[in-house]
Amino acid sequence: MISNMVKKDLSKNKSKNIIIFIFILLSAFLITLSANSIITGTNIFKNTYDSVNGMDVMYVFDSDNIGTDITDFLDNHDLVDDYEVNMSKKIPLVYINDIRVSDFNYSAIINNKKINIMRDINGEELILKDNEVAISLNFSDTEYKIGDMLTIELDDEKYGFVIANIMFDPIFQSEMVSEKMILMTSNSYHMLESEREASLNIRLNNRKYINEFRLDYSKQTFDQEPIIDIDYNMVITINQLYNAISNAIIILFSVGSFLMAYLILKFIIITTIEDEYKDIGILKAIGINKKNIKKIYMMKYIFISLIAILIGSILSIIMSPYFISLSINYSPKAIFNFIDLKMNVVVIILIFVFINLIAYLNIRKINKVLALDAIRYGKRVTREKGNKFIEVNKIKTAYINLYIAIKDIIFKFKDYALLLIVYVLTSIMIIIPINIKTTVDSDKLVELLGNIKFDFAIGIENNKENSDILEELYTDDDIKTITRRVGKSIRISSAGMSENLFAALIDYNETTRPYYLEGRNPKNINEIALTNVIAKRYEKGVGDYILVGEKEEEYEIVGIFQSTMNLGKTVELPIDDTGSSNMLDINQFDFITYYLNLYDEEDLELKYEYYQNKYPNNYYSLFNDLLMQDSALSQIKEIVNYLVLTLSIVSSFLLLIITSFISKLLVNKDYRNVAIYKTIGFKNIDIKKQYIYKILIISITSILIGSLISSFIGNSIVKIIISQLGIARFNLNINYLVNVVVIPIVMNIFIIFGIIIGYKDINKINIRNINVE
Amino acid sequence: MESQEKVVLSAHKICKDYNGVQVLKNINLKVNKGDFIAVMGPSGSGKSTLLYVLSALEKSSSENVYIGDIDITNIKEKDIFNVRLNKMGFVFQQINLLKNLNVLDNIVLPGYLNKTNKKDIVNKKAKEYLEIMNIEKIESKEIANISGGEMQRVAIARALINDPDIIFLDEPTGALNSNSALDVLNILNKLNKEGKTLLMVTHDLKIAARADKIIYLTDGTIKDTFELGKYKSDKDKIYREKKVSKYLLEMGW
Ligand SMILES: Nc1ncnc2c1ncn2[C@@H]1O[C@H](COP(=O)(O)OP(=O)(O)O)[C@@H](O)[C@H]1O
Ligand SMILES: [Mg+2]
Repeated sequence: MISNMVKKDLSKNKSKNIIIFIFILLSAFLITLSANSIITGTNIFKNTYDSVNGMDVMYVFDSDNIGTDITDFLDNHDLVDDYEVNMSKKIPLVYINDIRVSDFNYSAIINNKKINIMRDINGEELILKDNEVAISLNFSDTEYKIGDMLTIELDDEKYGFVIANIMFDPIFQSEMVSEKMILMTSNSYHMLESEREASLNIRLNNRKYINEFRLDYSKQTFDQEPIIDIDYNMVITINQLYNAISNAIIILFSVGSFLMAYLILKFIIITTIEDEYKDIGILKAIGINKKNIKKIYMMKYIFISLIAILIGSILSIIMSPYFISLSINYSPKAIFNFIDLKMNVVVIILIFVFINLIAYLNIRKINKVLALDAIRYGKRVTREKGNKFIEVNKIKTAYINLYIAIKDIIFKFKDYALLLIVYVLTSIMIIIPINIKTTVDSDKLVELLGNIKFDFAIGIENNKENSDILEELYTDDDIKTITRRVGKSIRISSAGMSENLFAALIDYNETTRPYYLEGRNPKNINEIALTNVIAKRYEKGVGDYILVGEKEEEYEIVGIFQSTMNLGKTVELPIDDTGSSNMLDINQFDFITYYLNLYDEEDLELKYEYYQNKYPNNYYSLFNDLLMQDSALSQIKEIVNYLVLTLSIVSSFLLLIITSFISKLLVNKDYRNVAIYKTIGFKNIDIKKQYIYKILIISITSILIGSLISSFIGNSIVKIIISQLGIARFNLNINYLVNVVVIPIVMNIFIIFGIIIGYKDINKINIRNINVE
Repeated sequence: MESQEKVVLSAHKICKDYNGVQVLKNINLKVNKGDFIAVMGPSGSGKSTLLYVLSALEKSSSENVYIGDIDITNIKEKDIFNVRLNKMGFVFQQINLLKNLNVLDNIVLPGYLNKTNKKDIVNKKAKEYLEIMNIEKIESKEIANISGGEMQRVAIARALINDPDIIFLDEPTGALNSNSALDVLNILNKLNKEGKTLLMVTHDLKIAARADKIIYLTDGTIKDTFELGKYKSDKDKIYREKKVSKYLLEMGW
């Protein structure tokens, strides 16, 4: 009998059930999508890393070979699982289709066999013929595609290859830290004669012991000193930092859509039960007990939700890789392999339980249905408090529809409060990501990643022949600031742990100081500033001391900053007026980079050309090329732009369907009133106006609340999320005009369309609906 | 006043079908000003449908339905609303008041919809009707807090607010207890006496006995009409009721 009644209900309340179905489907879709984006998205780095057997510790040597003292040490070390030595050759000149690509150093490599294996962007094996190469994903700013010709020039000798594939480096995924590599067969590799580097990749038995192992390694006295050493933790930190902004957006969106799904479901269930009050009463009156009535409703929700959740979740699992690929440099095909199906099953079960729990909790209201009230009045009879808010007979008759709308909102505030919260959430979900986008688009991003903004830089050899250009630079009226910077590897140690870090000597001035997370830039002798990555590893803070140099002199840590340069393996030391510090003397360097800021950025190109033409022998770099910053930043910008665009479209679409469904539900809920309005002479358009007013009153209020929340506490919300993800400093760029005017207007346009789609049923409502015998 | 033969409603060949099923078949009907007509007939015979068609609440394939001199079968949706607002009033069995408004507001609302009405005049009229209906004390109460009989009187007052040419009533006492029903009936007679035209569907012979004329509907056609003459006073009550009872027996009630 019960299943028969469920069947009847399904066909009788078709449109209401379709709405429930679609909402459950949508929420299952969004929740699964969010779960996959957060879990797969944040784990994808680790997953891809493991899929190519990524290293735990890496030492890079500028030599041909690695000594047996080192390999013996590794062979006998308890913590070492495996290791592999990989060679690479420096390639100074590269052409794609006969056009020279940029000035950076490229390297030729052969694929590793065991550790750090290179894959293509689909995560698949790279198989090359001798005349073919595969190149890094971010190889060049100029366009290239598979099938193009790549030419390597070495000592006036040219070697031509076909670009057969694009390579994805799972170890250095972000462009900020990625190298530009050319993968080739070992036959081709051996043809090339060039300067070599050897990297020693080590896998440990357990990643937990990275620090122990490194400590042990640093205590040895091997013949060869590594020029750089990197470990898994650093790579993870930097890569996560790189994805932090997009992950923050996704997290925000997910939490929002989850809350939205909850509210809307609750709303629908309450609405249906109120609507069916009479039917429920009749069931009770004919002697069906509460338990069985509830069973009928539960069966219905279980049935609808089961199908809706399955469809929604499966769709979402299929779509997730595409969505995740918006924020990650990996193809959807590859991402799909990392989708955790077990996790998805758990999520599906949780959604199912959750939805049916909401249903169950609300269905309990059936207990309160009184058969007599239901049959006689079609509703629960309550003594209602009069709401003495202005009366029709006291207002201007021209505002009658507006008045009824306001009165209705007050009368049924519970229903409208839910809608209000939904709109507040949606506006936060749209406004904050857009604020993040404007922030990322602005100059602030440079600072955000710990780097300083310069207009352009000139690298100048440190010898007497160059005194002309220096003199001209320092007397140029258009130049606002000149900052010198040199860098050198320097040894840092503390508590038995030591490593080589890149030390930057910078003569900061007031305008070019980087932002310090804590403290300030070093000014005096024996002062040092560390990146947050290093500070964290050595468990040091401002005021602590660290040992610097081979002589292990004590330096006071005066500042902590954020930098992605050299994987965060950077320290800063001061330069005094004479250009020297007690550690390093800037005058001893062969090469000094001068970073220039102009008074007027408009002059940039001219100034750049002027110096380039006048002193052609110096190395120039417009800010755009500086330290790869721009390409790295533009990659983040691109990702954030895509993501925000997609999410804004998704949110606007959600706004449209939510509004149309909710107005449909409200109209159906109010069918009695609608029918009465019609019989007493209200036109359809009047009634429609009332709904537009009602929803617009709610949406304008709530979007305003949402935009104020986003404007005033959005920054804190974003900071909290983003600091969890590794970015120590973030300040939203808030454009109040956009937040409070532009976005609300656009959102309300979508809402109006939603209402127009949703209130169509008003035309159909007829006096018959309430006067059936 | 009552003998003026002014036609307020005249309809020819009223036809209505639901998905091909004929519910009303070629009904002709004329209602003069001041008439009080009861429509009777078995359940499902099309009584309610007739009221809905006559008021263009439902579309029909009738030849014509004139309200005054306007044929509502062939006018635009927009104009139908105006006719409904100004020329007709409605009272139903289910009490159709707006629960979000109070008593007075329910009554004045249709009055305000007509832009030519002056607000003060509407308010004054509403108060008069409240008095006539003997419900002036509940003027500012919420709908949820008044009795069924009071609600129906409010509904009648609302139906009257725009001085309609005709008031349609579909079992106006159907949901009321006998005392409340009697109150409502007395009011209807009083209104009719004052010249209001009433077209009322009813199941109750006591109520039908108050009308001038009974139209008996079966299977969507008028089987018969029965002239009773005006209800003058309560003296005639028993006699009229007997007459109607006999008539209904003949009709196979
Ligand atoms: N919307 C509808 N669709 C189909 N049939 C209907 C609809 N409304 C009423 N009917 C049918 O029309 C006939 C007349 O109904 P109605 O006018 O309500 O009868 P009554 O005389 O009892 O008021 C009935 O048989 C009813 O089933
Ligand atoms: Mg009926």
